[in-house]
Amino acid sequence: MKKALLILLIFSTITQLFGQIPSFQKPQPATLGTYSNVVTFPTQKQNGFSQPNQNNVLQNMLWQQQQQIHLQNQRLINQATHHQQQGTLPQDVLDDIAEFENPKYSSIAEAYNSLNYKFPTVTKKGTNFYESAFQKFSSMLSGKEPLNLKRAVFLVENSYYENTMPYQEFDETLRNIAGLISLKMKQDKMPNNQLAKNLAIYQFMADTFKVKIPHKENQVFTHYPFKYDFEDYRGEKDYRKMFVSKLLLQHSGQCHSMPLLYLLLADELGAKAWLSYSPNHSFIKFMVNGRLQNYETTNGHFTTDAFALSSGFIKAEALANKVYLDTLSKKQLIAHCLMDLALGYEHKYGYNEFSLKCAKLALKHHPQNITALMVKANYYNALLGYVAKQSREKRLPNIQFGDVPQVYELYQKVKQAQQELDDSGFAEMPQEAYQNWLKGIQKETEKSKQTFQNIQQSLWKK
Amino acid sequence: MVQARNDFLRKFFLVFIFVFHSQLAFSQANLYNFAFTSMQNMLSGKEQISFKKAIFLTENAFSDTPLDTTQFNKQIRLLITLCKGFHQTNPLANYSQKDKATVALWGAVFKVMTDTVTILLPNGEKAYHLPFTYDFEDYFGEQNWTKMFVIKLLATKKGNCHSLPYLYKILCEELGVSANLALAPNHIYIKHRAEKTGWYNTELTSAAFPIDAWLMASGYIHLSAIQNSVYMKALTDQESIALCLVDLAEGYKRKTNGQDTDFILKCCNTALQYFPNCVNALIVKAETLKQIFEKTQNKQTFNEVQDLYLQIHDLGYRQMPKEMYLNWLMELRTEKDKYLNKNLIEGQNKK
Repeated sequence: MKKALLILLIFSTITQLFGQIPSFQKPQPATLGTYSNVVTFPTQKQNGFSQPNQNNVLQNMLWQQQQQIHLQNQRLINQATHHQQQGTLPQDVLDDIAEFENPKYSSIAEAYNSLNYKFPTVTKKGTNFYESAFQKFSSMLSGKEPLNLKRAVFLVENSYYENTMPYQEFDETLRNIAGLISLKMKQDKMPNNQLAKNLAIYQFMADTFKVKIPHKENQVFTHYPFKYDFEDYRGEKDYRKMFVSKLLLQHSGQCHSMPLLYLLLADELGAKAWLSYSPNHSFIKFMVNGRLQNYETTNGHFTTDAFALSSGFIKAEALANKVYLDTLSKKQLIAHCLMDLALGYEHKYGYNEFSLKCAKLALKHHPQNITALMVKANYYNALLGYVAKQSREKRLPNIQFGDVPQVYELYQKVKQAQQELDDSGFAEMPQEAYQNWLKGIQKETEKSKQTFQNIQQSLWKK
Repeated sequence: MVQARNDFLRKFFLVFIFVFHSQLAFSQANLYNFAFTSMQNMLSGKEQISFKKAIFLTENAFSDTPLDTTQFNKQIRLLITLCKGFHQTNPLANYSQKDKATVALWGAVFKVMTDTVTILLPNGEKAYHLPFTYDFEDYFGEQNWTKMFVIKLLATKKGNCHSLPYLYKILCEELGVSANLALAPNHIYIKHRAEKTGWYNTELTSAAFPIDAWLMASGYIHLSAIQNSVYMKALTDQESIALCLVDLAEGYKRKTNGQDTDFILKCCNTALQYFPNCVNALIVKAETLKQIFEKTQNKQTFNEVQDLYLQIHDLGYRQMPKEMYLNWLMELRTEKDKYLNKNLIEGQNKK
């Protein structure tokens, strides 16, 4: 009777989960007003500002990066000029223009001193949930609290949903699935060992999974395999695509959420399995007869290290530094989730000190964490871009990096972060190459089937 | 009286022959000891590290007639002049990073070694310098150890995966830029780190820039071998000298038919002191100890051999059959699309 209740509970919680999580919305692009009157804008030379020269790295970088902002500014100024001609411009705007044309700074250093060298603090709704999640991560990693993957995954997703996701239901769903898997193991008379547990999780995730419902004759619960979600698989448009809750609700996920679900279920069942990275990708490793076997969660294949290497984007240095193909420890796995938290924040609120804080903490516990190294490098890059943007907006004179200490310091940080990333052996893998590589797995279907059969046989031999 | 004089002469002659002969043998051992001491000094920092010198000493010790240092240096100098000339007349396009000058020199050495270089003579005529090519005959130096030598490469313009990267490294260092050797099963290649592309590989036997996946595709590089930096690691200058010491031991083994095991072990142990995961040194050491065990049946030696083989296996070494080696090497020519570094090739084409 208890078990029947359990099944019922699953259905009820799944629907409840549906109700609790806000429905998915497509983000709307910001729209720009249209401007009818086009007035020729005085060129930079006429304005008394020299063209960006080859030697000025800061202005040059900006010249490329900030084209759009420049255009927008141009439009605004066009409009202002138009107003000016008609004598309708308010005094403060006129003052600003005068300041632009005759800068009142006595020296370049002073001018650059007036800029912001930190991103403005985000005060938007919901950031406090991220802060408190960070605190929890921090105490988990420092050992004050036990390392708990389920908690960590929940923190990441709940912070994004602004504390509207019920933990209890997330927890219950996972426990119920684990209950089904152990039920299946008993019904199939599988031995109660590590390998059997891993195979059972595999069956649940990648195969049609049937369990007889206890005490109800001829009633069978069927679970179909999770599907790969090809659309926006990097979560660039909608970060929720990365979430385990999304995988559970929509029954489709990608190479981030699927391995996490596997590990969550493994935790529930007490099975040992590890997360492992390859470029832009993560997958599962578990022990088969004393050797590590790779399991590709996105398509249910049993793969080899050679397959991962065949992408062509793994450098020997990355392997020697254990960036790729190595197994992640429990602590490193929590650091992995911490970086998910940082990325979620970035998607919601843009670059901020928060990303850096997360990256630094993750690197403390997992110095080769490639995501953290990238987030750090991106952060400093964006900050330099932000400073460059301010200098452009204020029309400050051109400088070399070395002229202003603050800029120089920032530039050094950008270089250092880039260097760390390079030293790790990281190589950028284009999206297209990634897709082709993942598709290439289809050629290995036969090999994978053979591996699976071998594993199964070894299970029953024992 | 006459008889006695004859006797004396005969004796003298015999003595002379004996002395002369032993002196020859003595000088050979001396050369080996001299080479060993010099390399040991380089490793311990007493002497400045010179890869060129280490190579010359190794090859000179093996050779029956003393090699001509001036001739060797002259040949190297000629190649250097050629590289410098090529470097001056062919500036590097599409490269703006700070290390442009260094990368251009690497490119020049690569071109001079692997491509025909046209030289415009003062009288308006053209001369050609032909590339060094791969010697398909006895490429492991099993019949003739001198097949591995840089001297042989310079003399015949044909070399293998041993002599070609060595010469490349010598030329780079003479030009004042670095070059790192890197190991793969039965193979040596070059690794460079440029600012634009990061680490990249230079393969001189096929005149190509393969990606790491090609090396891994040999199928004989176990993941742990890379993780333990046994293979595909850019070797430091010290480690390169340690590698020369293993070559020295190999040469000595062939020279003396493996009779004097002390010297071989001495070389291996010194090499391992500075390059602990040097699988080549471990293998030579294990083989030598095995040989000793076969003679002495000493249990302790047996345990040592066993431990060594275990260590070699744990480091990720897997033996690659000879036939597989050539197939794999040639794959670089047949499967260009799959294994060539596209970043570098695109840059080249734009040139």
